[in-house]
Amino acid sequence: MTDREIVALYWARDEEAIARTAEKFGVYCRRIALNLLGSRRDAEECENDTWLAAWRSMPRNRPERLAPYLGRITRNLALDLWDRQTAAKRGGGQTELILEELEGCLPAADQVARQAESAETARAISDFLRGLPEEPRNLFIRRYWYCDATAAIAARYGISEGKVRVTLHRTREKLRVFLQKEGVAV
Amino acid sequence: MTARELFEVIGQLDDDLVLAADAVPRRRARTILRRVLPAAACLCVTLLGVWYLRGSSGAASPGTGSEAVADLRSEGSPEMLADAAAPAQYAGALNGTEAAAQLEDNAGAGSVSLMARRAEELFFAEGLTPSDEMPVYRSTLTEEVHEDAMRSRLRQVLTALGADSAQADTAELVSDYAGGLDALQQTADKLRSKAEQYGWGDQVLREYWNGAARLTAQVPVCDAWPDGLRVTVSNDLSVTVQGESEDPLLSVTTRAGADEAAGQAGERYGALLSGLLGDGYRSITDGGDCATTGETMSATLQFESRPGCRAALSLRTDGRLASLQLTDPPMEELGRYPVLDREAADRELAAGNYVGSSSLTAEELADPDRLVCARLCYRGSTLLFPCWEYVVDEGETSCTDDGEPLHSFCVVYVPAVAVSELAGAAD
Repeated sequence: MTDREIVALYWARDEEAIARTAEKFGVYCRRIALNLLGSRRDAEECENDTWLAAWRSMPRNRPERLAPYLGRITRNLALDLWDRQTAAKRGGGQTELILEELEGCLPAADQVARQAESAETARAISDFLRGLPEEPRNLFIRRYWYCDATAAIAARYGISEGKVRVTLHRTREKLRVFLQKEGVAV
Repeated sequence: MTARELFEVIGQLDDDLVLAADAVPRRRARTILRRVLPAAACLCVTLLGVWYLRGSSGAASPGTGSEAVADLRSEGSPEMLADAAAPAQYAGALNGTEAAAQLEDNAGAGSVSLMARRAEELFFAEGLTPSDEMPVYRSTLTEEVHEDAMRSRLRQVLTALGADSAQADTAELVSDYAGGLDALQQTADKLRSKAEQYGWGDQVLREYWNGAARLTAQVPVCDAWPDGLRVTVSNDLSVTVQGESEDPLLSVTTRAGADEAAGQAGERYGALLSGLLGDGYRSITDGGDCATTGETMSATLQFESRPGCRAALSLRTDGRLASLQLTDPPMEELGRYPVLDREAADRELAAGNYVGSSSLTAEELADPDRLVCARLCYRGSTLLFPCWEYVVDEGETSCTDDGEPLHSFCVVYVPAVAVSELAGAAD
């Protein structure tokens, strides 16, 4: 079933939409949640919540491509769950490490005069990523969008884990300089 | 902006970028050590992507979508800032030439290739033995979907895996690009028009066609493949085999460990490697480069039988196959050409006639005390030709590994044949 057909089911308020979505995107969303949370049980909870959130959001939205749309929902839900869990105890997922790594990209507070509109910042970062060669761009997105472990990224691309980390490190530095130049909070 | 907010913002990246990163990776001719490309060359090529693809986003974001408060902190590093704007004289004089364009697939990863606490931690496969003349190869891939060749490659891989090769005949040919298979030529024409208008190289179109279509087959769970496997053949005839498991990956940290793992992999997967690479393949695993966290690295074991024909394996700790990437593009021999010997290549390096960039001057690059590895190897894309590859210690960086400074190691190339004379042959 194509994305468009599934979206049409959502718009028709046909519950079959959820079954078809789970069938087609279950593994995809569960893996993102698992990467962030490190717990299969939590990942499954997030996955189920994703279908519900999609059901609730779809009459307002008509996404062209479901994978990134659903992936974003899963990512946000997983992050919310992680927040709740972190309050009690830090889990074994990639979230903490990923956030620590991203801190290095942030420009100095005194160089930024105003607040950022997140969608504009996302557009700027998208443009920044388009300016990178294919491999470091995909490595960055695998790490910080899909939240893959560096070992998994290395296996995926058939390169050493050291290469993945060094490339990510360099890309973060470039992104930091880029955001600084952009004055992020654009 | 906090890291959390930045993470949320990244969640709103353009759809096409997110989807592209989830496509089955294509394996290009390259070594495990990746190379350096001058920022200008990268920019030239990738600007096309920026220009052409800009505005392709816009899918609704169901997540935060709210304004992020800029609570930005300073993580500034003068060294890194300096590196981001490396002086032009530290880039090789051959950057921007046909040789650099050909090496782009190997050299496109960034400004530094390797990091380690010290040079002794790095290890490299043996280079080729130089001779007076060596062959240069030319890719015979054309700008179209190579369905027959893809099916043939899928059949070869399934047979090597001991799986049902009939799937090669029935696997659905698909394209992940917007518009699917029907829109490929039209988009390529637009892309070519943009490339001509702005003077961009051929790489954009090459990359476009390389990933334009794929065939996928499943190998069910069985004794030989306890995780089951997914086999994907791309339009450039590269192959990705992935096992469905999240068990830990095998790690190696030393040359001896890599040799042992390669030996075991060769023993366990000898039939598979022979089926893919032909007989006479050898281990070409490089490694030892560490990261900023001091953690053990997972291993990627590399094997090669002839220039351009190689396989990269990742294994689980118990030896199960985690992933395999096969690169074996169709090539034809263009002819045999005189080869620069090592001494002559050293002189070229010292004179700045290399491809790549570094924080070192040409004189420093040629300093024997900084040299970690120099070897002859085949590199390139549409042309595959012998190069002298130099790995050079740039000294300590601002990165640390558990408090101990890391050294960065650049990789630069001196073409061993006169690539400029072959430029026309690449087309």
